[in-house]
Amino acid sequence: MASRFGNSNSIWRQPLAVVGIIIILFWVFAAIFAPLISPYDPLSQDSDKFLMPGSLHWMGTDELNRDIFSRVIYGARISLPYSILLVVLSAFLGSIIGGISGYFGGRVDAIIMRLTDMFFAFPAIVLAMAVAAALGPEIRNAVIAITIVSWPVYARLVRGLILNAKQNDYVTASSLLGSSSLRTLVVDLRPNLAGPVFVLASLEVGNALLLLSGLSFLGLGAQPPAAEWGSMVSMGAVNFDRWWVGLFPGLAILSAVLAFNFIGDALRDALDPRTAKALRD
Amino acid sequence: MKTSLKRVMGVVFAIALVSTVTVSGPVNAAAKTLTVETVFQLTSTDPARSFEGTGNMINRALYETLITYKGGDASTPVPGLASKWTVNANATEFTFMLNPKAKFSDGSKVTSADVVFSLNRLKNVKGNPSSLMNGITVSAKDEMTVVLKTETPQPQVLAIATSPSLGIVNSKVVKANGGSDAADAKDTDKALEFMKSASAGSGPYVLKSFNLTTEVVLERNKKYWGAAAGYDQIVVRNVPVNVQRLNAIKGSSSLAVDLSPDQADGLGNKVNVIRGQGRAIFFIYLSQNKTFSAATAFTSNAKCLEAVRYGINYKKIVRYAGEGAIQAAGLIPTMFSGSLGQKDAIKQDTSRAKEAFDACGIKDTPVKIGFWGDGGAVNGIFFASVAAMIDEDLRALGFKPKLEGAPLAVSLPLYRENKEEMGVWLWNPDWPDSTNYTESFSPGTKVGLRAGWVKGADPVIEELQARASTETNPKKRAALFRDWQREMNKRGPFVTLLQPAAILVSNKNVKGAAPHIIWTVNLHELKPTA
Repeated sequence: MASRFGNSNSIWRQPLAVVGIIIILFWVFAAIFAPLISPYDPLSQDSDKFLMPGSLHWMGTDELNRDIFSRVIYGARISLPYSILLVVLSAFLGSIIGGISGYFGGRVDAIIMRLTDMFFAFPAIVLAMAVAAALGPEIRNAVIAITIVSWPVYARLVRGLILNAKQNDYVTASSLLGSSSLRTLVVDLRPNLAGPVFVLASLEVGNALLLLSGLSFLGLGAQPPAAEWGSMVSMGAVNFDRWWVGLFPGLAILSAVLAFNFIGDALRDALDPRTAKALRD
Repeated sequence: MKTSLKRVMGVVFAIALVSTVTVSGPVNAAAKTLTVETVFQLTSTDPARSFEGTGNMINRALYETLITYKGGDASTPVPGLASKWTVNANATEFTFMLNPKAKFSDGSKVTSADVVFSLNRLKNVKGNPSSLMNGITVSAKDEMTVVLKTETPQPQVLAIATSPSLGIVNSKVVKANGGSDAADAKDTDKALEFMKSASAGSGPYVLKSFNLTTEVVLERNKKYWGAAAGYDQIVVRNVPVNVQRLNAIKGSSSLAVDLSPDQADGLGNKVNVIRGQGRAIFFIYLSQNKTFSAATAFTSNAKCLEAVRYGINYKKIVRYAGEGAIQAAGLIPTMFSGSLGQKDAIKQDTSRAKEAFDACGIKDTPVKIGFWGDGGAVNGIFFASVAAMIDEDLRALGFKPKLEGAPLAVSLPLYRENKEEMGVWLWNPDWPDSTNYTESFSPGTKVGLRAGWVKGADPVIEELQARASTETNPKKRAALFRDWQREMNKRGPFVTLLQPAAILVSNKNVKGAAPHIIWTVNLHELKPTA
């Protein structure tokens, strides 16, 4: 097997992927060093409001005269970790459910797959809104809400992979040797899943970030006065004359989502040529 | 032959063209049209059924009430269809003498039978505004005298009588078109469709056309018995706020009524910006229900209340709310009788607040603050922004506030069911009278209970509430309302924050616009400048 960094699909040979990685590194750096980078406290208010972008406030100020540049930088501390956490949670949950479904087959499979169909049939944002509204608006609950709507993608993928892998002779052999179902699933089948699930997850980070910002935009995610990109865009949407209020957090969301998608695409090409080809065809 | 026919046709056409130009030109110039732009809150123009903002504005011009208010005032009634009225000593009997000059748009006289029919119809069709007639019975003493009676003293009947929902309709015309005022009018009154196609009132304008989603057109009532209307035609259009702003800048509309203070900035020189006071009072409250949660054991304590009351930077909130907004000195808005002046408003005093905070004992106990979170805003004031400002002030004192904004469907029930530790909300009057506040915020009343403030919690305030509800002398009433608010400002669980601005943006060629809390603007008072 050729080295992943050497073969023709290597992520490092794809310029868009490199751009994606640079952007994400930038945001990670911003999140970690936010207190050093941002010129102002992101929550401090004063008497003016809606100052235009200028030398004092590079991205202007909002309705409470909070510095938008500082808020965008601090926003990375909420949006990035939570969307990654979200993807990890839903990939974990979806893989377990999909694994059970694929391995046991029959009625269990039928029930689980109909359940995932139901989740697919619902528009994700509507379902997430319902869950977030029921649990109470808080970023933690928004994460739970989005996990609930995003696990089915992974369940389906993992089920398919398991169905495929189950037919390998070594799995049958392992069963014949007396391995328990759990052992077969975890030890024999799991390694087949890592690559595709990782690829899907990297593609889903962007989606998760959008959903999370979407919920905050609707007032169901991060609570004020927290600097969260989605809720900042929401303030911009009502103050449309002050273009800077919504534009910069909007650009931050755009850049992060785009970057994750670039990386996801490249990872897919590198790690999972089969899916990549299937998706292309 | 052909040519001559063509020539004749040409000449005829030319003459026709010239005559339309010469005839319609001057007529158009004289035919003055006013265009009003607003986001429609409208169900119909039937006064017995309409209870929404745009409906009130239109009905105020189509139908007249027994008494009414002038300009932006909502405290001193002036004659409407009634030229005189009296109230008995304990405010249970209100007698109105109709003006003999008053005529409907078909030229027939307005009589007590029309008033009785209109008010009974309002009561019995059981529409949204029917509750205004709760506990009120109407009867005719003679052809020109009407009596409204209540079982308990209700001085607010005079304020209720000004509501456009109590507009008087031409009973003959409405009956002829399916109207009914019988007890079963809810099912038997079929006049709604007719009332969307025509009006049957005595107001300065009549309805020309009605479209629920695009526009409502009014025409001058040629037989109006009072001072003639300023415009031949008024077009009320359903227009989104950002387009209202754009049209105001371009000068292509006469009046925009929905702009917030921020949106009313920088509109250029084609318009006048008229700032009045909005009717909402924003407040923050602390739950007095000691046993509800760990935090309310402290919020119910007088020292915590004092810390919040003196710890808030009111100036910052007022500045945020934009030009024209003022600090709410008490719960009763400025346009009502007995409202407090700015000298009574609480001033931030951080050292007093800090001392009170230390005495309160809440220290490390987090306290949740509920509010309308999903972009909830009134008069351009966002609850989330107000909450963020309060959060900063309370944090500075040492509180550990936790903001919990949620969509109205989630947050409002929590507030209404007394399930919040603290909350940022507002109050819009149900009827335009100060008793609406004493009867809603005192211990054991609607909002009082939302704050867990039960009957008997404050005998002094409750006594003032009881006295104000039966007092009929206007001066004594006003004094009672002021005393009630001053006591509320000392011990009540409500900390009043803000009364926003209400803004009308009128073209420079329109005069007479004054924001009104019930009908937004009185269209009859608008006149073209010379």
